Amino acid sequence: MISLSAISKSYRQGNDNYQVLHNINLMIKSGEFVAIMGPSGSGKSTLINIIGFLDQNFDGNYAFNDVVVSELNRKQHAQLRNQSVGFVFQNFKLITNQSVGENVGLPLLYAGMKRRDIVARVNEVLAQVGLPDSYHKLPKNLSGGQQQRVAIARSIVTKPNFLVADEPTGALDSATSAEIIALFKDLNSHGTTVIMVTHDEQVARQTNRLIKILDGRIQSDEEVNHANT
Amino acid sequence: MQIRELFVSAFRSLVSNKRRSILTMIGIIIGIASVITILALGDGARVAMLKNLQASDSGQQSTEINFAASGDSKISGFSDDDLNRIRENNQVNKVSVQSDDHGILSADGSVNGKNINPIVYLTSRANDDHLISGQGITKNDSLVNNPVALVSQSLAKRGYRSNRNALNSGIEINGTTYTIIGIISDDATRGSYNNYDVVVPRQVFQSNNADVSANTLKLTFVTGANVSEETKKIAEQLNSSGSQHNAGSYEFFDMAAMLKGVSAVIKGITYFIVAVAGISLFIAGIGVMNMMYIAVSERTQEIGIRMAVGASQQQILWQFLIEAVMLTLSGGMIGYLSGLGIAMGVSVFLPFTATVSLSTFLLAFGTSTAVGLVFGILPAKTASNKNLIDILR
Repeated sequence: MISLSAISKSYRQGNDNYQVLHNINLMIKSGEFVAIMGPSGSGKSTLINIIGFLDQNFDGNYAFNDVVVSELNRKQHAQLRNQSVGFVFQNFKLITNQSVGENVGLPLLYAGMKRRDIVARVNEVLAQVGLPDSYHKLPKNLSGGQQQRVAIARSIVTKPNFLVADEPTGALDSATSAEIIALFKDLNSHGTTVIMVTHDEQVARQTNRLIKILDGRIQSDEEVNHANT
Repeated sequence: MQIRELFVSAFRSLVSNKRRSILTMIGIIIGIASVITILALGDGARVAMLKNLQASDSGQQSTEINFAASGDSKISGFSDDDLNRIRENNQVNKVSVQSDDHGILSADGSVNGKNINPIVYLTSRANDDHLISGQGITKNDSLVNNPVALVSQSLAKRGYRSNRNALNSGIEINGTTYTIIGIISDDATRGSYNNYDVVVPRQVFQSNNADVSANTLKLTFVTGANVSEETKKIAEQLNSSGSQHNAGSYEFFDMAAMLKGVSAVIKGITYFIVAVAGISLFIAGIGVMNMMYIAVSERTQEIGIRMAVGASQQQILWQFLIEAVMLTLSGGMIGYLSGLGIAMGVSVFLPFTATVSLSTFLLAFGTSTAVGLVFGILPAKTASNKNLIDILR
């Protein structure tokens, strides 16, 4: 599904060219549960932004289901983001003055759905992440774990091809983290591809494939042996 | 995203910041309200004036040519030859000689040897208005040139001490003696403000006093004629070859030119005030721009989230642009209504009513939309050009 070949990216900082990613080659198939690990500054967030169509400025070739991503214009890019990927961020990134339901329904609005259909679909997804009857609540009245569930609900509401989670448990305590990871596992077992960035070994061990990144290069890429954990 | 949703979300973000939205709108409201007030009153004044000064309902306009004798002599300025010549002009619908507009004029005379200067009303029909005793003038009196007159009570008393004595006595007006057949009250008026003391049949008065009565010529023109031009021509013609061109001059008061002049002045004043109000709109627009910039930087996160879930740049642009336009447009509509209210309120104290026209509504609508678009486009562009990666970092 996702095919990266020779992906490089560099920032200009003053007169220096700072290269974040060096020649990344990566294939991710549909249905995988992938963790990307690495210390801060290793380029894992940059990589995931490219995979999740947030960043269009890179060198190399990215093909998503035979679509060459770098050849799309900004509008098509936005459309791809809307339909093919769901994002979960470390700090949830919910719109604070809108209700939970509206936050979750936002991608469907941009997909052009009618409001009535949106409400039905949003309630369905909220029930799926374990937050039924919270359509009209405001995000600030929810706990961190619940807010992250809302964010997950928002990411899966369009039934995307894959989820990208950037440190989804980074702002949560360990018990809540476990719940969120369990939710991802559950989604994955129902066929959703999940790509997750983390620097928590415990969390990474829960996935099926672990990719380690250091200084913009892939260090290792191996199956996770669940028998050990 | 459906267009309706863009409006809904724009509306909601305005409502969520009520105080700021209202403060920003006040500038627009004041600007539009003052423009509308001035335009409505100015239009009202112009319409009222045109109505007052224009002639008949069918759109025919009339003018008057006066003959002013050079000496003290009382000569008729208009002979039948003059009238016939004027009638040949196909722009002219009707020509009539009259004493003045209302058939009322002042005259010299005497009653029972005492000199008087009565105001005389020339009636061309039967008349018994304000009659106290005796009888009124009948149609027959006019037809057979019966020299009869109605006089006011005070004139009757002055000449003959009592109403009864006055009846069937004589009164002399401009050298003609009339028989008093009726007494009218002292406050007899024609129209609302034309007082008169004596009523005589027009036919009789004119046949005996052509020199006094016939110094105003009323011309009625066919619809669409260039009234002032034609009247000027006729007056010039009269001055060069009219029956009395040696004894005085024919003058006409060019109502149409004055009308044009006055309405030009009113228009000028209106535009000047509108220009001043335009400055207030400009300042209000800058306020809108300021608020939109604040909103954009305040909602950077929201913009990032919207983009991350698939909003395109155009959709972000439209969201903020619609927000700005909605702000100015609702300000404009409130301003329009309050402007109309003020204009109506003020026109209660003025001799004319403010006019509401579709064009002023469209002006308010268009101006406020334009202000929103012009001053909203830059902040909206800023919002849509934000770098997604930088926002979400």
